[in-house]
Order: sequence, then structure tokens, then C-alpha cells
Amino acid sequence: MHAKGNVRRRILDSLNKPRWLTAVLIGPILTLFFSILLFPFLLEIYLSYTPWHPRLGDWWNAEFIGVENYVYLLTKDPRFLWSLARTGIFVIIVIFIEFGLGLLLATLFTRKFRFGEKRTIFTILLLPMMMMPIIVGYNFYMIFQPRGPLNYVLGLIIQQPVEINWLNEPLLAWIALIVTDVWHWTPFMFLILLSGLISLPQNPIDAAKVLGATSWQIFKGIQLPMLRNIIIIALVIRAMEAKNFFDELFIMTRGGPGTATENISMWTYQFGAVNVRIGFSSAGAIIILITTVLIISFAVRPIIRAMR
Amino acid sequence: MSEQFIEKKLGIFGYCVIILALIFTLFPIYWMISTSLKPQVDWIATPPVWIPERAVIENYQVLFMEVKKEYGTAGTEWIGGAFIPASGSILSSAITAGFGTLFSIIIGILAAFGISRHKMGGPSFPLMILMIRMIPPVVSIIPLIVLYSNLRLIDTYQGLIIAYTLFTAPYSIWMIKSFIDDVPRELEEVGIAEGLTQLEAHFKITLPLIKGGVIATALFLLILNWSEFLFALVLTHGNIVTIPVQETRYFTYSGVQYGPQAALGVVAIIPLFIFGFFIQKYLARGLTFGAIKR
Repeated sequence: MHAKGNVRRRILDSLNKPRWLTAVLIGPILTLFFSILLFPFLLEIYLSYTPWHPRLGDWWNAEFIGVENYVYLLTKDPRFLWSLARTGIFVIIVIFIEFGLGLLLATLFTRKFRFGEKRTIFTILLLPMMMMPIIVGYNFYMIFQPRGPLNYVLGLIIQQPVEINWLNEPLLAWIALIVTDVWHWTPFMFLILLSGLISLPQNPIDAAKVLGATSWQIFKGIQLPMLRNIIIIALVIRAMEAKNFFDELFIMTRGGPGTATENISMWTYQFGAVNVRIGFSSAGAIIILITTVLIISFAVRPIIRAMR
Repeated sequence: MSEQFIEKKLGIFGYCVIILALIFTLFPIYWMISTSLKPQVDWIATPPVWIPERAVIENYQVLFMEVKKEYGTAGTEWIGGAFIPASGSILSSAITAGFGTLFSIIIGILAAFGISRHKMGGPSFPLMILMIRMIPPVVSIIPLIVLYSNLRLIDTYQGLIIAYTLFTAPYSIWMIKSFIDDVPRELEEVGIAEGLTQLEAHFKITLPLIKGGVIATALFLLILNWSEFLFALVLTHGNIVTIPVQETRYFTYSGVQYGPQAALGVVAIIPLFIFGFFIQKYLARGLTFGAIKR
């Protein structure tokens, strides 16, 4: 009965809305979507079955080599597979650090402040989010130089000169990149979680207080579970952006030393835009896309549920 | 241990955490500003120059100077010769970010009305739009390079503006949709009963009510477009240079030009901080595609 009513209403609705209205309202975005996203995407699938390179003439005459690119990438190219793995590990590490720090700051902000102007501190803490990623990369590039301010401060602490070449050691370079991303995006987690905490209904919390619950119990038993949706939204969105990590990487290490900090963005940039091995890098991009879509289809479901 | 004692401990702990967070947040920004004021000998020095005592404005002058090709000209020898002055990149960024934002907002308003008021495109349409943002941009750049070279859009304003319009559209559509959803439909129905057409009802009744939201969305998109790097890097070859691409040019054969780089950084983030300050209360809504409304 209910479903039938829905169908009838939808038919009536569609009768009420003339076709030109649809064309005016969602025509522009559809045109852009099909011409700049969907068509290129189909082109990319086609190219991924060719060894095409601009030197080989027009792409529509490219030789068809089947799944050769895919087989090579997935079985004989550890460089590509490592870039996928590094991306995954990087995403997991940064979103958890950022979530932890963001939650800590957000909880502190819901308490009474005995010092300073809360509003001002809040504004300052949000500044990194507005920074241009390239400039963030430069700032940390300067800080992590062997003769930069960080090493100098470390030297003061241990009382002898420190000459760590942060960006030239694989593990240290990763630490530098993670610190950079944490600096840039912890404010995002902080902002989202704080707005979540503030909007929670106050009644259950007051009731628990009356019943003698400690603030830790309130936090763990009431506030965190009620924040669940917002936490999921924050984690998913941050993960979506962290997997595209590129700008700071470009400035700070360019994937180096060697290929030690190369993630999927840097790999695709190197093979697609620098070496212009279009066919080969297209296959890589399609694998990246399929992996992402698989992960998204799991990740998006809770976000949609949370948005409704 | 009494609850009060724990509270007091927590207070001290919280105090320390916030002080540390403030230092961590402000130091890189401070370092950029101070570097932009240092003469070349102080860019990298041991011990580091914490406070630029010999402050100069050379680094800023270089940004707006027509750099001569010959070496040895007073004040230019240390920037390694033939640079494009950064003032051009500021203009390029303003054009691409400005028009990209304008078109994205127009498309966003139209599509948001279609989705919010008419459920156009079906229930999965908004998700399809969200996917534009969720697929990695590197996946779309390879075919875009090919397509743009065939259409001669590489290194043109049009090319970058089209890309910026599409890739910020998910933000503008979802954000504006969230504002429209907040306005009761009944207001438009009243208008229609008084003889307005459907479209007129949208634009004459609802649009004025969400004006503030649309402006906030526009500033949010400006921040995104102004900072965009990947598309600007791969879809141009030196004719159009946006600020982020200009920044990469300070890695020269004669070393990294820290001073001018930092000076351009300071110039580039001033509008971002101003916009960011104005839309502070909309930031959460923007970044979560309208899911969080405060």
C-alpha cells in the first residue's frame, strides 16, 4: 500500500515538473559531469588496454594489448603495489592521530576555561585548515631541514649538535610527512567533533551527573555513543582526503628518498604527467579507482545513514 | 581520589595541552612570516635566526619586480636569474579561482534546487555528485591531459576553470542544498499560489533567504580553488602559472629561495585567513558536505 502510494506520488510529481525545468536546473552539472568526468573516464579505461604514449601518434590508433598493463602492475611491479600499501598505511595512521588529538582538544573546549579568551584560541587553532597545502609543505620543509629549527631545538635538549636529515631517511621522511598532515588537518577533526559535542542534548548528561557519574563515565557511556554518527562522518571524510595526499609530498620529498614516500598520487603523477606513459599509468589509475570505489562503497554507507 | 582532585589535575593537564597545541599551530606560520623578512644569509643559519633583527622587505619586492635576465643586477643576483614575477601568478590565481567559484556556485544553486525541491535525477543522484569528490583526482588527471591536449585546453584559463568548476561542484551543490533544505517549502507554495512560476518561486523567495549561505559557500570554494595545486600543475606548461605552481619554482639550481617563497606564502594566505575568519561558523558544514549544520 505504502509503496504504491509512493509510486503514484512520484508520477504526479514528474508530471508537475516540465522537462525544461529539469534541463535548466540539473542540465549544467550533468553536461560537465559527462564531458569532463565520465567521458575521460571511459577514455582512460580504453587507454589502459594500450601501451599508448603521445609519441605513438593519435590515441585512437593505439595498439590494443589486452590486460598486459594490469598483469604487469599487479604481479611484476612492486613499486606500484608499494605505493598502494603506503597510501593505506598513511591514511590509517594520520586519521587516528588526528582523531585522537581532535577529540582531546574538543573535550577540553567543552569545559570551563579559567584562562584566556576561548573564542580567540578557537580561531587560532583553526588556522592550519585554511592554509594552502603547498605552503604548509614549504613551512615544514624548512622546519625539517638538517640545519633547521627542529634539529636545533633537539640539539639544545640533548646538549650536542643534531644533524638529522629528516627528509632523506625513509622512516624519518614518513614521520615528517605525518607530522605535517597532522598539523594541517587535526583542526578539522577538532572542529567537527567540537560542533558535535556542543550540539548533544544536555538532559542525559545532567541526569547522569545527578546520579553521581564521573565525568569519564559520562564521556565514555553517553557522549561518545551519541557522537557515533559524527565521528564516522569525520573519519570517512578525512580518510577520503588523506588518500589524495600530494601537495606537501611534492614539496617535501617528491616521493623520495628513492621511492620510499611515493603514494598513489605521486606514482600516478610520475608515470602519467612526467613520463607520460599514458596507457601504463591509466591501468594504474583504474586499479586505484577500483580499490577506492570498493572501500568507499563500504565507507559511504554509514555516512549516508548519518546524513539522513 | 576525589572527583574534585581529578578535576583539578585535568584542569592543569588541559592547560598544558592547549598551550602545546597553540605553539605547535603557530610556529610554522610564524616561521614563514619571519623567513619572509630575513635577508638571504639568515634563511638557513646556525643557530637559526628566531627573530629577524635585520628585517628586509626585499623578498616582497622581488615578487612584484620585473626580473631582468642578466645576472648581477643589484638585488636580483641571488634569485638566480629569470623568474616570472609572482604578481602574474597572483593574477592568474585570482582569475582561475574567481571564475571557477562563480560557475560552480551558479551550477550549485541550480542543481541544489533541482535536488532539494524536485528530487531530480532520482535518489542516488546526490551520491553520484559526491563521487566526483571521492574518486582520487589523480585518476581523473591522466585522461584530462589527453582530452585537453586534443581540445587545445592545456595551459588555458578555460581549461583550468572548467576543471575547478566540476571538481568543486560537489561542495557547492551539497552545501547550498543543505541551506535550501532549511527553508520551508510552504513559503514557495504561497508564492506559486500568488502567481509566480516554479522557477520564480525558487529565485525570488528562497534564494534571498539563503543569501548568506551562498556567500559562505562561495568563500569556501574560493579557499579551495585558490589553494588547488594538482590540476594547476599538470594542466599548464608555463603560460598560466597559479600561486601554488609559482611556489614550486623557488626550488632553483642555486638552492631553494626561502625568502621569496615565504613572502609569496604570506601574500597568498592573507585572503585565505580573512575568508576563513568570515565563514568560520560554516566551515564544519562545508567540509562535511552539509552533513553537520552548525
